[in-house]
Amino acid sequence: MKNRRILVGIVFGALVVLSAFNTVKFAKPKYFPEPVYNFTLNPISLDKIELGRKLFYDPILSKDSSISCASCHSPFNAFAHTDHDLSHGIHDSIGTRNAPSLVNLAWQKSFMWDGAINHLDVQALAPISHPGEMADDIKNVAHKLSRHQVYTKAFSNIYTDNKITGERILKVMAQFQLSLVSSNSKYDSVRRRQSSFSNQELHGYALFATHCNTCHVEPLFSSYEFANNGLAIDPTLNDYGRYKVTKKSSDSLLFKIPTLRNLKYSYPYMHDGRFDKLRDVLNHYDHGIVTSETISPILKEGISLSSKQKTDLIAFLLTLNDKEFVFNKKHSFPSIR
Amino acid sequence: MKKVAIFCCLLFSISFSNLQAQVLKFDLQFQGKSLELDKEYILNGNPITISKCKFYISNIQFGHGRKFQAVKKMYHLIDLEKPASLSTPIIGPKGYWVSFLFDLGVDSIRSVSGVYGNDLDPTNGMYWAWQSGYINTKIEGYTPICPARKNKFQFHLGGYAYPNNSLQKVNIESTTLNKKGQYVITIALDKFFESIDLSKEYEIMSPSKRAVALSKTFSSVFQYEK
Repeated sequence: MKNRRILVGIVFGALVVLSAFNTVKFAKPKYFPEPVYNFTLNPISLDKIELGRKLFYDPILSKDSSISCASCHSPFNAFAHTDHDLSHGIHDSIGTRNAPSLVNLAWQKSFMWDGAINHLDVQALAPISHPGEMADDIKNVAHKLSRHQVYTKAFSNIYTDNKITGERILKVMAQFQLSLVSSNSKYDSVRRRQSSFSNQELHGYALFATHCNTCHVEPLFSSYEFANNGLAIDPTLNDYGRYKVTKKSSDSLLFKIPTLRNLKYSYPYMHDGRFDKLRDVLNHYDHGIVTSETISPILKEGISLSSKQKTDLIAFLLTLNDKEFVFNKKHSFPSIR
Repeated sequence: MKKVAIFCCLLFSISFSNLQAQVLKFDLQFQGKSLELDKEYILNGNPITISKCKFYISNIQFGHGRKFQAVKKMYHLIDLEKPASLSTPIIGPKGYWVSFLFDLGVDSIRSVSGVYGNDLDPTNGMYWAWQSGYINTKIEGYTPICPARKNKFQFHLGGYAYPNNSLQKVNIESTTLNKKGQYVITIALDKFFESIDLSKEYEIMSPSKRAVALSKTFSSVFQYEK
């Protein structure tokens, strides 16, 4: 009897130690600001990240098992959607916006181009329920998962009562998305004094600091605020951005400022994917701005750039590409087990 | 092993000595009787059927005179389809209390802090997917005067942000325990519908001024059963 108790004690102790190892601290790059995400309500563990990853790549989340999160957020495009200006979902339905890159989400205050979603945990509900994206609902998703041994096993490894709930599905998915931290671009290695910019990149950096850093604040390369950057309204979409959420006229045509990290992979650009090339984007700021009442004050006059300046600025922007992030096996399609 | 159990019991009883389990019961009524879902009623000469009635109760406080004591913060989803949800066991301060103060809905802080489980789990169909926030009250049904598809009316009342915060404070005065040891609060749903012209207003599914107004109306039909 006594021996058995000791044995139970040892096993219990070992489990505690193991679970402590399994819980990991969110690794914040030193020069990044404090994350917005509250990790105390959803402590990171490797098991949860892995389960979230499995769900992220599994089309089971959609009504007819045709669309996964990765359908529009491909790892090789820095988790954005390439080749399409507007992303498409179930039954080839075309959406109204370009799927944004999923990167450094722990620092974002709101989600979607219009900020309609207020927390990363509840973000996945939107594509799961949207009739043109996954066309399902979280209750049915929980039901479907509970009929698959792979998932009942994976959830019971983490949660002792075996239940697959909406809360748990969304929290593990949030954990995988939180693990998508991009901080290994050339820019980052310069910040860590491991390499240095070329002269051209330095010129571009100076131009960036003068003209872009107000909205695309480094090191995240976005303030994650909303702004009207002078895009002419597309009459086929009539998308007024943040206005749809707040119904305030002062929010008309405001969209969330996207990060500039990984631009090489995340084209096309803007909320409706209207620009394919970085030079098109710079030409827009140079001479394409359409002014309206809500135009960002710093863009009223446009950003006048010579051809050489544009080339230098692009050279700097390309230092924000994080190849290691894009090809990181930890984020890619999970191996079938 | 036994000693540990006794110690735990002791600890438990000490820490809860000022508290006792009570039951708060919600009785949804239509024309003076307990409401039956999917039953046809006649209201102002028109047939009406209620097919769904769900709402959140939170932040319950017991009151005596000017004194209020909070119950441990909990969120209760009352769902007429699930009879068990109509009775809410609450651990509250000991003694006889004459009033209750609670929120009809989910507060704004909880609404911006991510996903929660149990009664707040999004699988309960009380969370908006396309724009974050809880549906505080969901009432659906049918009446031939409603011009919507299949004559269906849908009131999904929610919104946590100014100026469309639909959460309502409900104050129930002069309650007493009934013979079964329950505090019963009645909700006269017919009175809620008397304030709405279902031939003109029948769909609310996003935060708005009207969502706030109807939430207020709904909160006004809560009362202590005399």
